[in-house]
Amino acid sequence: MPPRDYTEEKNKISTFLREFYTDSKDGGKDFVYGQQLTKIAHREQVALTIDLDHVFEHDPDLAEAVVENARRYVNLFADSVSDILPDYKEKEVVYKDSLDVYIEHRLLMETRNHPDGPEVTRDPKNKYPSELMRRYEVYFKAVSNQKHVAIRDVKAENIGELCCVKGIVTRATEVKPMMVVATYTCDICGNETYQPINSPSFMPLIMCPSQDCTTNKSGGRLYLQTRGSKFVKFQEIKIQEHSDQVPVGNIPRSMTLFCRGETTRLVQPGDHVSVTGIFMPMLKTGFQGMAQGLLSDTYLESHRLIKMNKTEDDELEAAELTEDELKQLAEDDFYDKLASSIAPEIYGHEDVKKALLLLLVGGVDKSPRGMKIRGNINICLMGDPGVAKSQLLSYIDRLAPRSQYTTGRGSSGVGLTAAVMKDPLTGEMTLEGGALVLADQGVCCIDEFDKMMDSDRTAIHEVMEQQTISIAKAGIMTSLNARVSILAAANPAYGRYNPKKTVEQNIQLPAALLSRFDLLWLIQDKADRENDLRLAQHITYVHQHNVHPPCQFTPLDMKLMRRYIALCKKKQPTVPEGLAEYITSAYVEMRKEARNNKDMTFTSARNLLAVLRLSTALARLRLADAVEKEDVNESMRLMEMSRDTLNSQTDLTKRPQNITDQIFAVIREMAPDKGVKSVKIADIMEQCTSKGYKPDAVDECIEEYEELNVWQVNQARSKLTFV
Amino acid sequence: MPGVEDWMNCPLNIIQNLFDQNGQNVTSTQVKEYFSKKLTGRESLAWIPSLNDVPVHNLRPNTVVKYRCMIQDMFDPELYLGVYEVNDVQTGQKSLKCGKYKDIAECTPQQIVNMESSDNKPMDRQTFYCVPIPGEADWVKLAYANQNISDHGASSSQSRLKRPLEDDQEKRGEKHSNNQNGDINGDVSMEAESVQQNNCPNQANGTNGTGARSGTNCKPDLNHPLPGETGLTCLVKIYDDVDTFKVNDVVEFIGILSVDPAMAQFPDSQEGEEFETPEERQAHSPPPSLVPRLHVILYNKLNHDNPLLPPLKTESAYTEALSSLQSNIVNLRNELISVLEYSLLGDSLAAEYLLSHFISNIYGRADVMPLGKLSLNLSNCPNSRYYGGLMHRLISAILTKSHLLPMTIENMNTMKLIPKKDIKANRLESGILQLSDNTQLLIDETLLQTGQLNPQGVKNVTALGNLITWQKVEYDFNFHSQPFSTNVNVLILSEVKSLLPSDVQVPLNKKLTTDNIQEYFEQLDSRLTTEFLNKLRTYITLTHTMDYSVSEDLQKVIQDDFVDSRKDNPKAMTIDDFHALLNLLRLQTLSHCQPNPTPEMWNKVKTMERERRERLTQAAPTS
Repeated sequence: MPPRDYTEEKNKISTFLREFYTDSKDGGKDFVYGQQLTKIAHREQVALTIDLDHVFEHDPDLAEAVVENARRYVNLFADSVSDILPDYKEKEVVYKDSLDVYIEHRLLMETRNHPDGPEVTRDPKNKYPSELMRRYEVYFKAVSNQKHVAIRDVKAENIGELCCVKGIVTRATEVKPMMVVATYTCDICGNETYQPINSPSFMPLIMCPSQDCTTNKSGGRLYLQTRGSKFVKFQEIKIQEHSDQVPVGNIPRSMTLFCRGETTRLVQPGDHVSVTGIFMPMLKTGFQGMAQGLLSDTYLESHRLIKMNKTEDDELEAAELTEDELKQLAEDDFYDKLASSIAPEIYGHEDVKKALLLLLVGGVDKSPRGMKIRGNINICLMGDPGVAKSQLLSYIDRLAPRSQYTTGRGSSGVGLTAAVMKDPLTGEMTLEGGALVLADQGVCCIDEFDKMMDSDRTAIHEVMEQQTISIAKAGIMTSLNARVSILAAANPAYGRYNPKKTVEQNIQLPAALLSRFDLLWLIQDKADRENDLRLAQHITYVHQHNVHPPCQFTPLDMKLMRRYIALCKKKQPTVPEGLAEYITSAYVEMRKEARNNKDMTFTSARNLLAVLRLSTALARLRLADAVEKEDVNESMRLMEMSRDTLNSQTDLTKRPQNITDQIFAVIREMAPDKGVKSVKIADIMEQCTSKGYKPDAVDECIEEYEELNVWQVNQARSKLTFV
Repeated sequence: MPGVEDWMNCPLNIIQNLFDQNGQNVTSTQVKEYFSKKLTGRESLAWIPSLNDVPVHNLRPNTVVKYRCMIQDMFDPELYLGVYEVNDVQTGQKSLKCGKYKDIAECTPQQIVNMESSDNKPMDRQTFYCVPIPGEADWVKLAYANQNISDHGASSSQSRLKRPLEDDQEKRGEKHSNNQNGDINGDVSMEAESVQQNNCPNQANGTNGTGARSGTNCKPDLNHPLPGETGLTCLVKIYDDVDTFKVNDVVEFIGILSVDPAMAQFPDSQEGEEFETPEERQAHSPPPSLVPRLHVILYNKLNHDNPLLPPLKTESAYTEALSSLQSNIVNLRNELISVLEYSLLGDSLAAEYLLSHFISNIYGRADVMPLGKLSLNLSNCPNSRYYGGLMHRLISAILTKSHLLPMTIENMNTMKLIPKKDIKANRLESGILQLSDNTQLLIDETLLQTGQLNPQGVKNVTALGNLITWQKVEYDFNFHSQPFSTNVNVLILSEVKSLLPSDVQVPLNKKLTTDNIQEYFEQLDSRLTTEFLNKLRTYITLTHTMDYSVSEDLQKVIQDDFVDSRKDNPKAMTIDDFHALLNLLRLQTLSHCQPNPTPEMWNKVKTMERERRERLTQAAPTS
């Protein structure tokens, strides 16, 4: 390849800067760079960002050359800007600082000393370095379709190229002034000498190189002049790879960024950033340079530094959902498909998975008249040990874009909410977020919920309904957002779920907390021949082949799910007027049933909200803007199913047990609490037959308990009195 | 001058020649080819001195050496000049040199390196920070050292042996004489041992875990995962196949040693101060006399760390070992069981479980669930503070890699278990749980007293729990944590059911009693001859790599069994129980060196589990 003609390139650049325009809104021409140059000439702007998209539009070859050899082109651009800048100066500018005055003086000096062109006698090194006269900075913005590369993919071949990387800032130094041009004056002849500096360290000049001193051999000494030298702001930043870019079993790599001038002070440790910059080797000087000859450190000279937040990043990905993927999703049974793609390795539990899917999508937040009603769905999974509760939890933890996993035993209230900590270095009080705060706008999975201390659990009450955490300790009073969905798993209090007891008794959680869960599922390990056989086959397969057996359907990719869920979350469906009545009537029905049935759960106004949340989540899942009747039906069904898991057990174990006992329970409930505890037999018959017990059985029960002296029956056998 | 000496002592000249022959260009493959031709077979490899047992100062720089280690950390790639130009000062003659496999640009005094030349080619290479394999047993080190044919004479056995872990010196002497029967250099190493012992009083503390890092205060922290380890660490430079390496891999590197003192950095040098913190400089470029550089030409990933077996399964010596083992497996297994039974105070059931535990090895992962692990909790252990140490001594004589972790409140609160990224120094600070595959971790919970755990302690206990259940350790990278898969066997000794989770809990049924547990264990020593031990060592390692499959018929039997046992009472056989049963079946079958289980084996396993459960229910009221 013949060497490039850089003067030619410089002309190209000047033309580009002068002539490039975009069409402005009013139809005229918008000279993007011309306008900026005017501003720069008037010292109103410092950074000139060259958008390579524009360069590409103007001259594709030039753009390519810039990417390949960005370092040189920064200088070429800067030089051409200096050349054409005077043309853009429309008025005299007021000097802002001493350097402006210096530049002015120097320019005057040069014209006065050498009116007819450049000096011949003087050492060309001693001319004013262009960096000294510049009051602007040139930055490149990469073409918009340039992909971000992983830090580990930036290799030696990329030296000098413009690269885009993403990472997390792990370290940032303070911003320090860095010398760009050192200016010296001679103590004998008074001449100024300049030394441009490109490396982090430099060897100061000592002897005056000016003509006067060299010819006279006067040995003039040079002294560094701080005011006449040029400094830029300088900051060194270290970034580390995102965890998703690191191959399994590797250590995340890091990279050093050098930020100068306008790119400093943009980010802090912990920020996620996207950087465009030039990959450069670091020049070492002096002894170290000689010794280490073969080695050099590398850095990325940053040109564009953008702080990203993680959600923004996710949204970006969601937008990339392709036609194919949408088609794959938008099949008829997509709801089932999505649900069964959650933890595909866990058998069955379709309804639980559906509920978990809705938890991930979440309902719509509402704030009528300042009162905040959460949209996040809270779910509690209960069940005997070893029924894959933890697996479900850890799967959700992995699937949710933002989540925290903790166990009740391992976390105190402080670990969950927030703690005030004393910074060991500064002694300042700082607020440190616990799992719930860190999971803000995400999911917090709490395993072994029942094992938590009562005092710690109370901290969760606030989060579950108000979605905030209030702190009032050590002089810090604040309220932190904790807009989380809580997914809890609990073991029954006595090792096994006792169907004869209520939910509260079974997991020893107060009703106040339980009612905050929209759905409570009891997952039970029931013996069922067919199911067991499938399970056995499944497990033997896993042990034989190291993988889960192929499913009948192919589960959706986790990333696709994540993106789809992100997409769903953008929708804000509403409940149409017409449906309101339907929901209310359904709720009233539910309450009535609950009163009649005396079941082991309870129904409160919170259930109505739960239905609404689930319905809106379902509507979101359909990417619809309004809730439909089917959504409400489905959410009612889910609630019913969750209730069934708690209640059906009652029938299952009691019926084979003893009918007499059941009838006794019915009769006992009929007896008035106060006064003479007597019930009419006719009433008993009526009540019991309505519940499906045969009159024979009722008679038998009455006789049996009479013999036991639990109650007495009067002579006419019409009335029964408890003893 | 062809011959062994040539390529071993002047590898750089050979590379330079290859470079010149190929038109000033040399690929790593060419270099590799050349050297692997020279190094066919283990015999020629034995001629290469090993950094593991020859002190660095006895080795000449820029010679070929080998190094057996675990990758502890991966640094950022570094840029170097793959080709550089040197100019002769007098004649002005230019020549190109190959910059690969060296740290310092070399030239004769009349030459200078031209850094500005356009012929210079920057390339990048990767640096790994490697440490000797953590928890490696002494017999492994010795056996490897003895395999080497070295002209450094006796110096080779003035080894960098890790000090044995017990603080009872007398014991150690005995054990050594046991282990080293037939070791020609036995006396020398004994001597070396006592000398080193005197020099390093700190280490004894370190092993107790109390002064976890006190032994290193005089020197820069060498980042050994286990406290008290002293072996030579090394900065290994990799030129190709970088992506095939993972952290915690055990590798044997063969490459060129570089210890040029010019690489040392002086603490008072101010250069580059702006860009690197002093900590970072110290971590990334420690003095080469302390941490030598190794430029890798060839590497062997080691599937196991057993010197008695060739590293590759395909080698004929390997299959020979396997067939000879299979021929007398019954006797050997019975012997081993009886030794284990004795050490477990006469409990044969627990001995069977312990053997299965030794053999257990994660052979796959279904999604996140590790398959093949069998973490064992031996409860009802004798309440003697020596028992854990004595058990560990026995285990380390049989297994290649092991570590004893005394679980006391203080240890849990102070020890570093989880590796953590040190942002300031830009390196991964190691923790005890950074262990290579198939390491045996022995947790002695009998030492645990009641007390307060601080946040660090809670984290540590959680990390141990995660390690046991999921076989992964979440390394702390400050802004996020990253899970690393492990394959570590965890054995917990406790008095009652352990605080930590475990797959199987076996309460010891003590048949033999003793007043002096130390004397009791000493009686075992006479049975453990080197010959017998070597057989056991080969046996355990071989079982790790054996194939295993269950026939269709048996699968059906097993499945029906599962369904039947659940019919009456679903609690009698949960999914976890079934997993454990299948696992135990596999391990028991392998322990008999059989590739396929038989129905008899299945019944035996079921009986074992039943017996164990009966014990658990018996033990329950007392606990």
